[in-house]
Amino acid sequence: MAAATATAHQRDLDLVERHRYGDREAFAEVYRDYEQTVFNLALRMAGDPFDAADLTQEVFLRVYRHLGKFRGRSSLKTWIFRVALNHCRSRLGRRRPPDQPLTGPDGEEERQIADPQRGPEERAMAGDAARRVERALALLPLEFREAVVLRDLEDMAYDEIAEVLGVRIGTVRSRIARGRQRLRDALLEDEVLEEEK
Amino acid sequence: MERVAHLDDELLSAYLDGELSPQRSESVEAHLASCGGCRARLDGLRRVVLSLSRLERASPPPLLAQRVERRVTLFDRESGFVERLESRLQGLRLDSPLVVTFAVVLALATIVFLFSHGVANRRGDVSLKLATPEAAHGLLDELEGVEIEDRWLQRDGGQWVQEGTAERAAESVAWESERGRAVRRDHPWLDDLLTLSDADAVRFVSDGGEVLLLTRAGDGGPAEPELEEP
Repeated sequence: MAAATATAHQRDLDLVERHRYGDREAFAEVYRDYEQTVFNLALRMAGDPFDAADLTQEVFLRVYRHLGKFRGRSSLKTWIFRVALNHCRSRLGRRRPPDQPLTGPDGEEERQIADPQRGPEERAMAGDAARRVERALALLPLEFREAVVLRDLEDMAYDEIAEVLGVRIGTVRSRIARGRQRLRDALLEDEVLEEEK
Repeated sequence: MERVAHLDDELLSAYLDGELSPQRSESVEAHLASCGGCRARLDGLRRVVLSLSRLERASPPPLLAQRVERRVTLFDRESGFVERLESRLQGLRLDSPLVVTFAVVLALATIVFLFSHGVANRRGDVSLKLATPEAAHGLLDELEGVEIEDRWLQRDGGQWVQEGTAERAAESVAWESERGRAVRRDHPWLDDLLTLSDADAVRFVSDGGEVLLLTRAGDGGPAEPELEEP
C-alpha cells in the first residue's frame, strides 16, 4: 500500500517535471487521469452539465497554467481537487441552490431504492429514486455537499478531504455527518428511504 | 471500556466510515448491541451512503477534451514570453545560481526593452488606435485567438482594461467612440475570449479615450446595443 502510494507520488512528480520542461503529453496524461473526476465534481457543484463542462474546461486551463507550482507536498489528485473546488466555489458561491421539490417531473411520487432483487418496473422506479437523491444532494448547502461528495462519491479519506477543503478533520467529520443527516431527512420526507423502524 | 451514552450522528457517521480509533469503535459497537434506536439511525445513514454510491458517474461531453486542448494551445501561443517562462519555472528552486543569474539577465533585458520602445505600460494605456468603426472591426479580426489573463490583456505591448465578472457565452461586440457606435454579433472568437477572461464585459480603452466593449448575454450585462453607424 505504502509502496503503491510512493509510486503514484513519484509519477505525479515526474509528470510535473515533464510539464515544466514543456512536454505537452504530460498535461495530456493529467487530463486523461482526471477529466471524468473533475467533470463529475463540477456537475455535483453546479447541477448542470453545460456549466459543469465550462467549469471543467476552466479548471484544466488553471491546472495547465499552475501545474509548475505543484511541489508534491500533497498528491496531485488532492491538488487538482483543491483547484477544482476553489474554482467552482468562486464561480458558484453567490448562486442560490435550485428550489426544486423532490418529486418527479409529473409530480408523481415514487419510492424506495434498496432491494437488489428487483424487476424492470422496480428498476425504473429506482432510476427515479436516483434522480431524487441527486436533487436532494444538489439542495445541500455547498459546504456540506462538498464534504459528502468527496467522501461518498469520490471515496476520499477524511484527512484527504481536510487537505482539499483546507479545514481540520473535525470539521470534515461534522460536515459529512450533517450533510448525510440532511439527506436522510430529505429522502425520508420524500419517501425515497423507508422510515426507520 | 468506555461506555457511550446515546450516539450522535457525527459519531455514527465517522464509525460508518471507519474513521474512529479501535477503542472508540469498540465502545460504539457495545452501545449499538444494546440500543435499537441508535442502530436504526446508523442504518438510516448507511442507506444514505448506499444510495449515494449508486449514483452513476456522468461522462464528460465528447468534445470537451478538444476544447481544453484548444484553450491550452491558445495559452501557449498568445501568452507572453515572460508568463510562459514563469509557468515553466514555477516550482524550480529559486536559490539555484542558474535561476538567479537568469532572473537578473531577464530583468535587465526587460528594462532595456521598455526604454528602447518607449512603452509605459501604465494602466489604461494602449498602443492601438480605434479611430473608426472599420478600425474597430479590423481589431476584432486581429483579436482572434487572444487570451485574456486574470485582469489585464496584453498584446503587442498594449494593455487593455478588463472589467466585470461573467456567466456565459458572448453574444455581441459593441464598439464606441465619440464618433459613433457599431455592433457585431456572433463572432466565433468571442466565446473563447470571454470564457477565458471570466468576464461579462471586457472594455478596451485606447489612449484616445475610445472604447471597445465586449459583452455577454445574460443577467447583469449591459443592454444589447443596436447597430448605429456613425
